[in-house]
Amino acid sequence: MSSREADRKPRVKPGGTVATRRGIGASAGRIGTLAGTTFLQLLRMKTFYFLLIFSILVVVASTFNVLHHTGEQHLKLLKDVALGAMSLFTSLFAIVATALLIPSDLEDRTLQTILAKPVPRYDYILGKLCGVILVVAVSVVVMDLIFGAVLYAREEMMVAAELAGATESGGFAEEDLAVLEERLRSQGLNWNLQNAVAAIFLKSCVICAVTMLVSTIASTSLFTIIVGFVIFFIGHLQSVARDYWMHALDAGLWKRLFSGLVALIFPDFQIFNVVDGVVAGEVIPLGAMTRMAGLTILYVMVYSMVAYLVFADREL
Amino acid sequence: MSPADNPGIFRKNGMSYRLRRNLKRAAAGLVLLVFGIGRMSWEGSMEEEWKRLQLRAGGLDLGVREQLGQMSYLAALGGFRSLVASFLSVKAFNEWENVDWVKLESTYGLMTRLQPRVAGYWEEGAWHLAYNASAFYLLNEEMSPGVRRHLGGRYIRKGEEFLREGIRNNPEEYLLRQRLAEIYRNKFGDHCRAADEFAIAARLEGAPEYCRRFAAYEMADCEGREWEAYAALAGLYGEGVRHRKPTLLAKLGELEEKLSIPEAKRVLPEKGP
Repeated sequence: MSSREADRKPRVKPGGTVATRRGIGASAGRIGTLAGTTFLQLLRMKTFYFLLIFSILVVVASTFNVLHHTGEQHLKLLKDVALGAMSLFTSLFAIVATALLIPSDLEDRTLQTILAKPVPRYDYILGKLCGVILVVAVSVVVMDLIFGAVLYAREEMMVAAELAGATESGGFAEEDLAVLEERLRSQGLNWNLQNAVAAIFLKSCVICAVTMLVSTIASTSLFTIIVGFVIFFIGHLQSVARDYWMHALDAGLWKRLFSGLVALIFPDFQIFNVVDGVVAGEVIPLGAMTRMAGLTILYVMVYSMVAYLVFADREL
Repeated sequence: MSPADNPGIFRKNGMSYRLRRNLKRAAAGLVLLVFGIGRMSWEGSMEEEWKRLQLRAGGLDLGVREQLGQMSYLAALGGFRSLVASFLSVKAFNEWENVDWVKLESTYGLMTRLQPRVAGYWEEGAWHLAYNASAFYLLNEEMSPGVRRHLGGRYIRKGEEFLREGIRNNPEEYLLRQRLAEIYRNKFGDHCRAADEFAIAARLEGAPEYCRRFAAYEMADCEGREWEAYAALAGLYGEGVRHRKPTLLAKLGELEEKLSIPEAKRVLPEKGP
């Protein structure tokens, strides 16, 4: 037997259990394989159909024609609808897709088959999580491309129409036309919008991680989905609970204790809600985005660790 | 037999299955709490930074909740403020069509509370109040002249106040200053204040050059500031052809006559016979 074949053959411990190949490389390989199969599993569930709804919504929004709206307002409305839909769809998708994974593996006994092999449970959880995050990432990229294309087309149409209208009406000097065009372009396609899209993706990563944690406790997808939505809503109010806990010193002990628990356990999704500011024209510096990404990585790591601790000794 | 049937007998490292499971669950809870405490100050500082970067508008109070309704309020809390504001702007259009000024004013108040940094909402709301609503009352022949003047004047002041509030929220936005100056010029006939507002607008970033000209035009009509206006107009004239618009030339000529500037010192070339 060659040394290569010996490497492939599982080592059997004296008690009859199969030893797991150790090391970061081996673990990364298993996680990668699991992520790939999870990606395919979600593809086969035809989850990408929601992108069609998104495309229709964005195209319809681009044709909204409110009479007194200026070009700037048309573009703002389009951005609002597209980014709002992107945020909503991505969050819903992150909850539902993650909630389906473990119960589905339990139901068709795939989970037992996987864990009967030398696959540690933390590799399983991380593999599943990476797979669903990969699907979310692909969805966000596709939605971003659709949104960018429609916004660019609309922007060009608006600029051409407004400049033609202004030139026809007369009385507009070159400088006035330049100001008009600059104001319109400021509401059009720009790199700062990508920060809003990135924030949407980061939020959905946290949603995936927290839903994965819930699904390690839950026995059905329905329960996980419901709890996932509850956490989604509480997460948007978490900062209110945190303020109450830290500043309402005259409040009763139980109220403060409850708000403190909410603030400590639930993620703060308001940190990721920068879309409104970006649509209004505020610029997000790179440093702020880096901090947001750092917080996301921390959230994903901690929730994955907690999910593993809960899942490690769960009877299947 | 599974661990659940008799958890005590599945021992590992001297610990029963049940004890091990409970210890891991306790560790999970502890990790969540420690992480919660650790991230609290980080998230607090990020929230402060977001406010400094104007990415986060102020909180939504009970008044907003009552006006918005439950679903829109939830949507606004869930990070869809901008979307709710956009849909309210469509609703405002219907209120304008129905000449329901009270509702329109309330809708724009709501839109600007949701997105105080969108200058367009302040500009448009003020235009509806100071121009459309005021004209609706001033030209309404079914009302007595006194009531028309009273209601028309009230809406002009509302428009002015609305713009002032918008400027407090967007001090760097030249367009709001420009619109305020236009209200002083067109609705109040107050050329002195219009000149001041145009001059402030002209100093703000992105302001078009015509703001400087408009400031000088208004100053020319402001009693007691003719010399200042003459200096400003002459300065603009001297900057080149791009400022030599018919209005500028006319105002300059008027001031040279009014201030009795000697022929030799006049900026404008002498007219031929």
